[in-house]
Amino acid sequence: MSRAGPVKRLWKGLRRQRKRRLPGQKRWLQVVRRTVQLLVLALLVLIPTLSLYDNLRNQQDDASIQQHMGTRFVHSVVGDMEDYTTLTQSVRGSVWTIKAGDLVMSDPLAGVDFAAASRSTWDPFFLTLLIPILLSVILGRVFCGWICPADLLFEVAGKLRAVAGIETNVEFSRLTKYGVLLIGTVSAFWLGTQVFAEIYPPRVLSGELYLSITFGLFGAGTWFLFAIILFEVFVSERFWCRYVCPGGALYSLLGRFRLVRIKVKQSACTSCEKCLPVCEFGLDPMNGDMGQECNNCGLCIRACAPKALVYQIGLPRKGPEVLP
Amino acid sequence: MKRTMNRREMLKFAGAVAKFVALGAIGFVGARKFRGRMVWAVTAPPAQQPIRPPGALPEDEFRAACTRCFLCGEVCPVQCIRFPSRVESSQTVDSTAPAGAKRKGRLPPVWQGDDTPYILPWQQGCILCMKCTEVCPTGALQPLSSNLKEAQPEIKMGLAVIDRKICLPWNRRSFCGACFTVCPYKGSAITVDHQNRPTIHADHCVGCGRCVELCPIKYKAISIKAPFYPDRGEERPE
Repeated sequence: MSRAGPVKRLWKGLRRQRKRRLPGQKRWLQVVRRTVQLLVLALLVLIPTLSLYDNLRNQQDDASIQQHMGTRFVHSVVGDMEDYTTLTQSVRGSVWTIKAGDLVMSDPLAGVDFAAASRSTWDPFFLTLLIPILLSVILGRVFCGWICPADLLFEVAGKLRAVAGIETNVEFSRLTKYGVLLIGTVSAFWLGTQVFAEIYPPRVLSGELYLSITFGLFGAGTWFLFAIILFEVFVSERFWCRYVCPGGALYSLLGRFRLVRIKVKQSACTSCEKCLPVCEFGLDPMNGDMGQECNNCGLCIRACAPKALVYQIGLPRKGPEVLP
Repeated sequence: MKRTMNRREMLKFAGAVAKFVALGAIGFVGARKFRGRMVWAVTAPPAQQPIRPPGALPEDEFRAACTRCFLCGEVCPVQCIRFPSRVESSQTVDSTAPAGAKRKGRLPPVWQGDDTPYILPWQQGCILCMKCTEVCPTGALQPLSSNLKEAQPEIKMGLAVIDRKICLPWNRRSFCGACFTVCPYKGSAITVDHQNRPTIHADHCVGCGRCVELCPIKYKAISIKAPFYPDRGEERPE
């Protein structure tokens, strides 16, 4: 019997997704996680809009403020305020480097890029890495699963793939991204310029949003992200995060000895394997093979019907993360 | 005792290596094709250095320190700080491009694909408010005083150069004087004689580009040349 046509397959895929209500627990955790991710994305749109509004208002360019949808909205909220600059100038930057008042936080990958390219062992810039590094050491690769806007984009692409019923999946080694991290660091050192900033999807996405809002342009970064998404939908599931991202490699290394981890209770596990396909990073929760790459997203807990997967707080131990 | 791989395992291993090499090759070719400009820009010495925001470190140190965070662009009140993008660099530059730019309107290649901040003086000159230097997290833009007199010796954005063949007073065409009027260091960086013909003084000009922005001639009689650092042994470029 020949396969159904593409429209019918898409429709079947959508219905399959709708019926796919996972049987596990902690549904509220996914709601929180999605909310945080969407808030980050909203912030990446809001910050350039606020600075654009500030600059236009400074030049008393009311016509341009009314033309641009985002600034029109900001004006409707803060337009009458005497002291609007306290709000519009309160936060600057993106997930790569963010500045809120006197607090500046940067992505640890930016620190690696900077240290390698400028060949320096100390700079006040490194102080801005403290909080992200501390959070990663305690909680693991949570930037990837909870904050990274590109992860949200790629998860949506993954849902597209599931709806379209695409099964082709070329796998690579997870170690490749550590190679990318190493080669990139050496390249930055040798060439004397920063290289990760060009290819790291959260920074590229933040930059593209900034360019499109401020100048009405798209850059090469848009094509780059588009190419990754196409590749992930048609060829290799979650290709960038699983196999290539140098930021992911760095966060995995930082989060190797995290205090908050997911463990499997062997006595409760029925080996139904429902947790395997939901893991975004292709890990193996059923056998406790989370390793350093787990981002504590909790999707496996959401899928586990016998409630065998749990969060545990404590010092790490050797061997697979199993409980009796 | 360790056993050697049988044929099946050997084939699997060869397949994995082949996939790795193929991925590397695609990545390399893709990088050359799509980010090839970046590779060119970072490996070759720049043909024409872009005008950086004030307080910028010397160009090679700047490209190492700038983390491409776009904070300087966000705080610039006149939006003079721009970042290269493929679409922008291939668009036709508008008619206020200086005489030095190619007529077809492409920006010099080194400004493409790098995501570092630069200024196009003919579109918008820098007003020397120094907000960008305050916000830069890595020190690629060193903090400078916003007092114009104090900061003058530290600012090395470039050097203004007048094309006397085009400049109106030098051509006995008019009494223009726009560049002199708008210069923040008028009287020291730029002086005019009794016929309003301007002269740039290299030791005081900081290269902010307001003169270029205001020059009324279509292809601009004045332009900013890249800065040079005598204490690093550099000579003034042509």
